[in-house]
Amino acid sequence: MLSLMREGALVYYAFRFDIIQEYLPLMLKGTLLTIGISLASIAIGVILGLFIGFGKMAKFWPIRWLMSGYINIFRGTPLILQVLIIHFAVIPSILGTTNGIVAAIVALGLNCAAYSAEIYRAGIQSIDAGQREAAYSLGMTHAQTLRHIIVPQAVRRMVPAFGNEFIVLVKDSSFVAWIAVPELMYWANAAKSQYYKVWEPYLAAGVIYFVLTYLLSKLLQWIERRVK
Amino acid sequence: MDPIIRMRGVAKSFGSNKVLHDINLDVAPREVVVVIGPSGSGKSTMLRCINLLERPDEGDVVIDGHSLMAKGTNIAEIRTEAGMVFQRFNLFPHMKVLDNLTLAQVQVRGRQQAEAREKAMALLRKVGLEDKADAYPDSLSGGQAQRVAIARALAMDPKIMLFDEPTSALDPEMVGEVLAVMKELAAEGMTMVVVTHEMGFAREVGDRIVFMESGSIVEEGKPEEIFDRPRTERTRLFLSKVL
Repeated sequence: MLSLMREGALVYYAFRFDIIQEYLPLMLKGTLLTIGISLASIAIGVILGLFIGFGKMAKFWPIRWLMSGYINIFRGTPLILQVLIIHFAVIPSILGTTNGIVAAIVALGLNCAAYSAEIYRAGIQSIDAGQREAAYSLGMTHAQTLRHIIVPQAVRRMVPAFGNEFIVLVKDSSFVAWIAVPELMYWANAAKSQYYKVWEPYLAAGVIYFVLTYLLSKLLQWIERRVK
Repeated sequence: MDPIIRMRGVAKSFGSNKVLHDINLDVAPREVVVVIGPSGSGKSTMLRCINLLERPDEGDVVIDGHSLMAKGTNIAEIRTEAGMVFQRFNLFPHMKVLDNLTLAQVQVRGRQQAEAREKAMALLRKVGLEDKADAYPDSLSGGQAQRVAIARALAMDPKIMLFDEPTSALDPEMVGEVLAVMKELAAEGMTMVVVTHEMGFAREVGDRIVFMESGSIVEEGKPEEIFDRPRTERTRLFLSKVL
């Protein structure tokens, strides 16, 4: 399948389909876990991010300061570092033991919340001040203005940014293989370690990740069209 | 008659830039006050202080007996009585024209949807746009959008209408249709405060002209007085440039 030139002769790479065949059931099971972790993290991120995003726009400065700090810390440090700290330090201090799946969801969820908060804030603040003023001049309260005027317009602008964030999250969920969560990347690594073969497991994992993100992007495009 | 708008000693700064100095202005019910003056003279800021889109740093604004600066005043409620028309229309782009007119009626005035629709359609008919009820604001011309914006403000049955350079963002051929609607409103006895550069409109429709410069009211009087016999050199100089 793959040919390499070596010493003037064509050397064929013996592609071991049998490795993929052997590991495919495990990788598919891992894929389900990847999907589950991603969905749970997205749910946490989108909901928590809402509070953090609005907190960053609060009038009361300590809340603003606190939320900015949260966002800066989670955006300013590597995700893998967050995964490791949450897995080896934070979760054990709460549960008394490590739990890879819980740590994975917490780490990815908290990270996603930081990025989501910025998407909410940018979306809300991108709406022209004249919209708010027009609503106020009609006697609408702050809450009514947000609900009927600002949020419906902001959501349209947020959807593409959220789509981007979700796709990044699905791919970044592969980091949790480091803490032995048996998701897709974990099984690809396992196959590589057993057979010392790189192409077969990683190519297979790559194809699966690509299919996942491709389907997700199609779903998001559909949603984008719906909210227009 | 008691004034419906009373501004007393209103001052406002943006940072170190003082844009309004000691503004005192009374507007009587059914009166049409037209505010003129060079750009940056504080006309719009003064108008925006009347419904507290800008909060004065000093002084007070009393609308129909209610002080806007007093503690415990329900600002949203008072704003309902003062309709505002903006230079850039500020229609809600995600809603049909009809919904632009019914939203606040239902949310703020607590009207039934059917009643609000009826009111909205009557007002669209009045501004000559009933065929646009189901259109989105993006599909309207500037003149049409501004007439919808006027109808939207009127739907709340305000006691006062505030106009912030309502024709400044329009192509010249559309100015007339908006001014015609405003003239009709004035003739019906609506209390209006209009910030504008349309001197013809000011002279024809205004009961009183207020000339502002550098954040102060320099001169005020009947249109004939201001346009034909200005008392101050500053007024004369401004009018010589714009007329």
